[in-house]
Amino acid sequence: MLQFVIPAALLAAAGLIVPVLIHLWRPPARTIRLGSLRFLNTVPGRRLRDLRWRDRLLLVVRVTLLIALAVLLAQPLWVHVALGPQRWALRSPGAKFDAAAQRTWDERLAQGYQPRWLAPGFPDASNGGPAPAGAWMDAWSLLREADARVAPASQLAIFAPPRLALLRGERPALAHSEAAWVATPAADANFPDAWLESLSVARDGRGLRGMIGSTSETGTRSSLLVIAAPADTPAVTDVATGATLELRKTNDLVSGRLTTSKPEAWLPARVWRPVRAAIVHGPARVEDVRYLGAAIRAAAEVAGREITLEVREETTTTILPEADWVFRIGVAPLSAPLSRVLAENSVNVVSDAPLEAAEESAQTWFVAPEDPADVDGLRLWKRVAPARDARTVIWSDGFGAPLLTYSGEGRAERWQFLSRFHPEWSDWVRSGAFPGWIRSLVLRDFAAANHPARDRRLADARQIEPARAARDLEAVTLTQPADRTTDLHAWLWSIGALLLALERWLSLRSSPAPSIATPRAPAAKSEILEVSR
Amino acid sequence: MAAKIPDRQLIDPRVIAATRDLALVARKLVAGVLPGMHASRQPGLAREFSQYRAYQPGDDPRHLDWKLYARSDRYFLRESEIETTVTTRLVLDATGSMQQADTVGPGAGLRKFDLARVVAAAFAWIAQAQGDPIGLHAVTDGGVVSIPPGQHRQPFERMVSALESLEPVGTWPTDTRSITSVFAAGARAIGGADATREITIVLTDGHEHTDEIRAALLPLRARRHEVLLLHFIGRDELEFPFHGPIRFEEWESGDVVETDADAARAAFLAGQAQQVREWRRAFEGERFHYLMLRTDEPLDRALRGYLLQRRRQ
Repeated sequence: MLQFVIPAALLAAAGLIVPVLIHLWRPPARTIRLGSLRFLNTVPGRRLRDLRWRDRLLLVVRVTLLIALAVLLAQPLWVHVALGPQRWALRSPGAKFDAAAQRTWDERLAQGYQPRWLAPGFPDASNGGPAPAGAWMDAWSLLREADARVAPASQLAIFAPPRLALLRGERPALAHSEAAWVATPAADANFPDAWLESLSVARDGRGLRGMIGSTSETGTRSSLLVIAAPADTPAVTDVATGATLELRKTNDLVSGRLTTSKPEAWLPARVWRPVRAAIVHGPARVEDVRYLGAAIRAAAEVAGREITLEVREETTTTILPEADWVFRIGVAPLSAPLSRVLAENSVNVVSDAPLEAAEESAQTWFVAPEDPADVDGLRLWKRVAPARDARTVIWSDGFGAPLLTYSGEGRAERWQFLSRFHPEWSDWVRSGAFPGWIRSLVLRDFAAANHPARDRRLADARQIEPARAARDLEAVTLTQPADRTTDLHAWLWSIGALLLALERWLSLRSSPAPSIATPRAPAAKSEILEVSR
Repeated sequence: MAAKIPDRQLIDPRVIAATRDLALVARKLVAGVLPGMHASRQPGLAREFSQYRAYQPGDDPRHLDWKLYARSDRYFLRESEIETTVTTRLVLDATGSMQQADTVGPGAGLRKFDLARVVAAAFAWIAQAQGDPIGLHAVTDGGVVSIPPGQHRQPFERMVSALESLEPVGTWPTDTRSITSVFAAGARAIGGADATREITIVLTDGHEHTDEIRAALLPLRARRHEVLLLHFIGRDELEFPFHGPIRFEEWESGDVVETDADAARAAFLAGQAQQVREWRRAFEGERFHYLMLRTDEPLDRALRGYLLQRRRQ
């Protein structure tokens, strides 16, 4: 199927009007009456009839040449369309095959299924083709796309662990294909079944509180493990999960980890004390403060931690609050000396769009790859231009401009958000990702249980079979992935060159060589004699 | 009015194209070449004295000048120059192909027939001035329109009116006998015995389907006529100044050839030159004279050719 990258360039074919008009407007052959045609009848070939045919041929060649040029400008691609139904064996990049799954996979390939990765573009998975980056893909949306790409009555075999984390969103209704799910083992050696979510010193200063997360095919949960006398206890076994918490003490710092087959890094115990947060805001930012304050309180509530929050409006005489975290909303940037003083006291600062920065309208979105805060793709309507400094870009917008930057100053952190915490500026403050981000930032409490890679819950068999769409449902049909197209440029260039050569040849043949004017033929001249005797 | 126009200029084809008075153009054309015209004289008995000549044995005694013998006691013959009369016949090709006119050059737009008509009228004027009988045979539309010589005292006016009423149409008759019989009848009307004193002037463009013109003219050679063939050839035919695709149509037959003029030029010119050679070979002889006339050249060449021939009579 021929497709064009720039179909508008086909309008250039309108240029073929020119040769057609020239052809049509050419005056008809002049009629000259002569006394005798005897000498013309002997002229070999080159009759006008031949000339007319040659003219028409020349016109056709020229028009074809122009069409070829227009098509060339339109950048044609030949998209290979498989005519019959297709059979795809789709393998999730994170799927680990056991013997049964491997056998099924081999059987499917023997039946003529094309091996492909269940990943965007559905790249070839034969010969151990490289697995696409990003182990965990959204299976439902990929299936929807695969269904749109295949011909009707195709068959899809999905080789993936039927994990709930893969099945986000709505279950697709397939119009073109029958999909069968081959469940692969959900266990993943990269992620243990149980892990230490957090470890903290109890509020009274004695004892430790460990939060142990565990996941299984039926559920994911967090259980609290209280160790009354950590100094005397090198290891504690959690009754609920059967995991053993290992403790060690180095330099008055207690840290712990779960002893599993794959040992985790030591997690230091945090001192249980309230986190002090303060918001300093400009006069026009009361609404932003409400959203931010709500998010901080929600984070504290969800994490079961205490956060003291102090809100101040910035005035010229404001003394900086004593806090672990200072949120500066709509105020001028910190001066360098003040920032240095704050850094010596380990005060982290989060700033949003500064007061004087000009706001820009932007129809874009958050780009936050591999970030657990789950903000990737959130819509962004307004932002400010980033300052030119060497900060680490954490998030950016859809145009690649920095959106959230980070820099360290001493032991303190400096975060700069280049938009506002306001729903008119972005979707972020209204999403659950906002308190989640506050929680991970302020409390250092990553919601590990929500990490899709850890979640090992399985879907029911009835859940994972994609629904078959009703026949009358208008199916979305997409073209094949890009690796099934052929670039026609080289062909068109050669065709164009051939046509040009043919055109030149015909044109030079039909137009006579420029004859040097022969006013009278020498033979005839000699005949003009004086009166013959 | 006519006196203002220089004579030389008047015989230019352009002037002919601009002038519709055939008699005037013919007279002016003759006036331009007349200085070279001499009456043919022949010793003989006539009223006008020329010279005395001593008697020689064999002379007719009747020619002796007895009065002079009485005075001088010698025999002298009295001689005078008698005027000879030469009958001139004009054979004018008035077939359709004579409508051919040049597309370029000084004679552009002027038909061959217009030129031939002027030349014919000029001959008539000369003949009338010399008192020679002159006749016209116009071959047109498959037949012959004849004005036999010697029937009019003022043949010029008669000839001019006949020429002006003629239009070139039709083809040359394929039956050559119809023409030769007309010629023969004219010759008998003159008196037959003095057939040598006759010039036939043929004005034609030489366009024939097979060889009907040559076939009609060749019998003249058998009779002891002087024949002057004036072959009118257009500049278009000699130079073929056409380019590109052209639809050529034949005047008489209406046949059509569509061809690329540039490609056909060489063959056409070669064929034309070959034809002129053939005509020259056919009509060049003891009493036959061939003269090719270009339509873009002054016409006095035709008259000078005639006068040269007339002088030999």
